[in-house]
Amino acid sequence: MNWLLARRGRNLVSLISICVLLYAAFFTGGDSALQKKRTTTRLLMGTLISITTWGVPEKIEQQGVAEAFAEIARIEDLMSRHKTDSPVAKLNHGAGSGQPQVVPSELITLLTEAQKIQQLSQGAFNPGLGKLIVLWGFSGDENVVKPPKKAEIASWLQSFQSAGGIELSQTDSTISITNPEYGLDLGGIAKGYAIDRAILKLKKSGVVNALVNAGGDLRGIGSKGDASWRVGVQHPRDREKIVVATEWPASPKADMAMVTSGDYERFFIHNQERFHHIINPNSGYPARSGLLSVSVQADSATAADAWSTAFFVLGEDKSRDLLKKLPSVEVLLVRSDGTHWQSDEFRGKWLGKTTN
Amino acid sequence: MNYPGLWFVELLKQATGPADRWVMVLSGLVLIAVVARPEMVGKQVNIHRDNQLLMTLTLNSDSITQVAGRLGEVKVEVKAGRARLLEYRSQRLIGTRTGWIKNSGEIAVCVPCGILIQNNGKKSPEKTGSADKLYDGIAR
Repeated sequence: MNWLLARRGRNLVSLISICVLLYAAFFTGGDSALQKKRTTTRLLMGTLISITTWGVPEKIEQQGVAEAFAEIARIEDLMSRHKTDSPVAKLNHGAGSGQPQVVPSELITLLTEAQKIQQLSQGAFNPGLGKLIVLWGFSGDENVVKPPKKAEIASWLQSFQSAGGIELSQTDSTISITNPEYGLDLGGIAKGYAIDRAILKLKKSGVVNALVNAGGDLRGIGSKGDASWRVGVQHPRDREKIVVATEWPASPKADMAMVTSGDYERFFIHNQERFHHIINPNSGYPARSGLLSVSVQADSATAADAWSTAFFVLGEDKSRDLLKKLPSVEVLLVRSDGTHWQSDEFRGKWLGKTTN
Repeated sequence: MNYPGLWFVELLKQATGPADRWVMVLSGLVLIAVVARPEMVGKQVNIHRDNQLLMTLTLNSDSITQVAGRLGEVKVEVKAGRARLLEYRSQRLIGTRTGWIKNSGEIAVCVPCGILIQNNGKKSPEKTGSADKLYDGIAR
């Protein structure tokens, strides 16, 4: 009897000990799994940019991330209108002269893409609003407290619409701005382009699993092992809440971008009215399209960036019509009443109604 | 003298051999190490300007430090093991919305000033914050 009791007890003790060791192994194993995920953050292009990688050997990761950030910095130097030496700033300086200026061909390629989206969106996306944005005060770093005078906006609008705009020559690699009121501003597309270029650099360095996040505009490649990249869409009125949870396909070939535009990132309230930074080129005023935010998923962050602005300006009906012509673009619209609409292939689960 | 629980020790003696006892001791030590692991809340905050490390502050003592940003002085306040950016007049200052940062990996930033503060502890950022706990990225 004692022998039997001892044997049972021994089994029990061994079992408990093994459980303890397994528990500890699970804990430490969890930590090493977390270490596979690394995030590096930099301040570039006027925003916080982070690159997260998963399961990449440290040396490859460091090289890839360094090259990706260097590429983003290069694009900032090329396309910023705040840096006086940038080709874009120089073009703006000579706006109205009509003199062709030689620029890197990359700039012409991106502007050609921008003009294509401008045309398809019937002008809802327009890369020439730099001077209007300055007029509204959304270009600077100081807080804006009131809108510009109506006469100022009307005057700008009349001049902007009556004269020409911008002329590109791919053969000579030149750009000329023929309208003095045209201010080249790639704020609605350059960040997306920088994300795409960063992804390209990461891929070339051998980084297969990465998520590039430029101030909330994202593109992911690969996965986190068996798990997907998990991306939430911020509530338009409460930055602590998430309205949509998306899981991007967990596959080595997975590659998706998502960019959100909303009336909540840069705005001011004047006489109880909200004035935000997404300006309707046709009115000269912040777009009032019945939407709080627009999230666009596409193959490239460049396209997602530009289309999110265009759809925000267009509003729901026109956006839904236009989407029929854009097979690789998916969209989530959050309406002013807090309800939403999403296209059939938009990846993401709606978590609940928002409140305005 | 009869102590309650002695019967259990006696039973263990009968039920285990020397090797079993070693495994028990080892498991006990591992369990203690895991359970008693210190809470890895970061103890320092790094201050960067234009992506270059300017200085590191301890979170163990309260302080207010002035840093020269691109647009002027930016104050970093450390209080009760937390840090935050104090000066934020611009609409672009993410630091204004972030408030206090305490956990490792958390960031507050003044974009136009080029100032970024980050808790530099070893705990992974995905274990901190609210929404950041669940998501690899937030679209905004």
